[in-house]
Amino acid sequence: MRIPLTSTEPPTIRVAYADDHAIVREGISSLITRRSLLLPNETIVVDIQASDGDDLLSQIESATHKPDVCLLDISMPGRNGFDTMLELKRRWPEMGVLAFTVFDIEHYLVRMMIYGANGYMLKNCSTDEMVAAILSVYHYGVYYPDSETMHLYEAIKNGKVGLPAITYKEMELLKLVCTEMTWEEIANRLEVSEEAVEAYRTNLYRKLKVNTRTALAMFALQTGIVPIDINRHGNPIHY
Amino acid sequence: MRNSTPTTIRVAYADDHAMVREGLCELLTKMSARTEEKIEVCIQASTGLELLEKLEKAKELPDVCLLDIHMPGLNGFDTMVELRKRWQHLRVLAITVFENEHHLIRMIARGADGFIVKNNSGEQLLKGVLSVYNTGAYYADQATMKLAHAVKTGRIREPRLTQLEQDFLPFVCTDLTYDEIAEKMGTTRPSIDGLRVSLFRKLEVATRTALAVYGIKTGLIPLELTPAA
Repeated sequence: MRIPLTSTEPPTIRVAYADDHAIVREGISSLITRRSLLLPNETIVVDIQASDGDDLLSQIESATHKPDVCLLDISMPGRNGFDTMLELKRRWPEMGVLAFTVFDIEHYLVRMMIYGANGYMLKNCSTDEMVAAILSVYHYGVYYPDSETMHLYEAIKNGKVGLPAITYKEMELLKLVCTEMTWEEIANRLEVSEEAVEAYRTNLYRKLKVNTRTALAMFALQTGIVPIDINRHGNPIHY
Repeated sequence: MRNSTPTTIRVAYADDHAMVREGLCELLTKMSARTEEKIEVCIQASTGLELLEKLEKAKELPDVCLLDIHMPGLNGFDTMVELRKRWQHLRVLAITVFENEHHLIRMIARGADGFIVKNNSGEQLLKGVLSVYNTGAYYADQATMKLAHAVKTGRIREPRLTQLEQDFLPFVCTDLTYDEIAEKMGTTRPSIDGLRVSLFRKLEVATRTALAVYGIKTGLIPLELTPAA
């Protein structure tokens, strides 16, 4: 959030963009920069491009001028968009971040907003809408495309819409449930006993009212605990 | 005097994500300013069906088609079949987020002339378009070329799912037991076990959960078909 200075120099909005798909990232970065030339009062430059969450964090760390707005893809190898969002907001709470994804899934939106996103953009938006969103986050700290989304954001902020109550331990278990690991292997990975894993599992079955491991995995995918990885072959899930 | 008019390569591009599509068009046009051949994106479509309609109406066919695989409605695979049926010599470069051998095999088997993955660089995209235009084919590396050759000569076949296997997949993602699935599908437990074993083999997975996750990730099972979380 910036108050425009009374200066003749138009403000430059610095944007960082993390996306593992290089041609998508390069193309969209160039598009945003070019389209911003038509703006009367601001210029937008995409001066950081990162291929995953860790790359984004380290580029921002070493940047002299921190970005004003980040665009953050969700499905990325290594540190995914959700985990990156948490880390961005921990280190730079004032920095604007727009989630930017192909996933039109309400749970993903809710998770992103709870983690501190300033807006949630779909990749089928237009260039004009993206530019409008960047300006809105820069000037007002938030972007919503319509009043319906605004009400949803309000409801999330007021705690009226939330995520299913899952403990940290249960979340760790859910991440591994989506792999081909056996329960024994999962216990070893989490460095707990098999009985402990069984207890978490039984608890989750009861909490989510399901009976199978597959249903747990589907829950993890649908709620973004394990964001859908659209890049790779399903065997195995890469961690 | 020699003719110095630069060649213009006319490109059509189908992708349901407008921002991604426009970004790629921007990139292609920008980069081709540096090459001898100029690239002009003359057709943009947001679905396979729209691409087919626009090609039908076009006075002149594009030189190269870029075709995204994962699109709602008519997806890239089905669009590819239709493209080949109508325009046998149209050059088509499949473009996708999937780094997945099965997808590559399926696309080549349907007649695609090359394959670009969205995490390739802009240089590779440009190379792909130029190569398909000039030589009729583009493969990113030796391994892909060998694979494509093996598909074309019939030595490798795509894993085809039967109708029953496709019908079974959404049930895999539910909380139902195999016995319950058998009842829902009006079949027997042994035949469900048969479906399960053949799907494990074809899609190279070892557990029901892995099969479900694979199905969601590759879009074989739309997330909407799974029980609400």
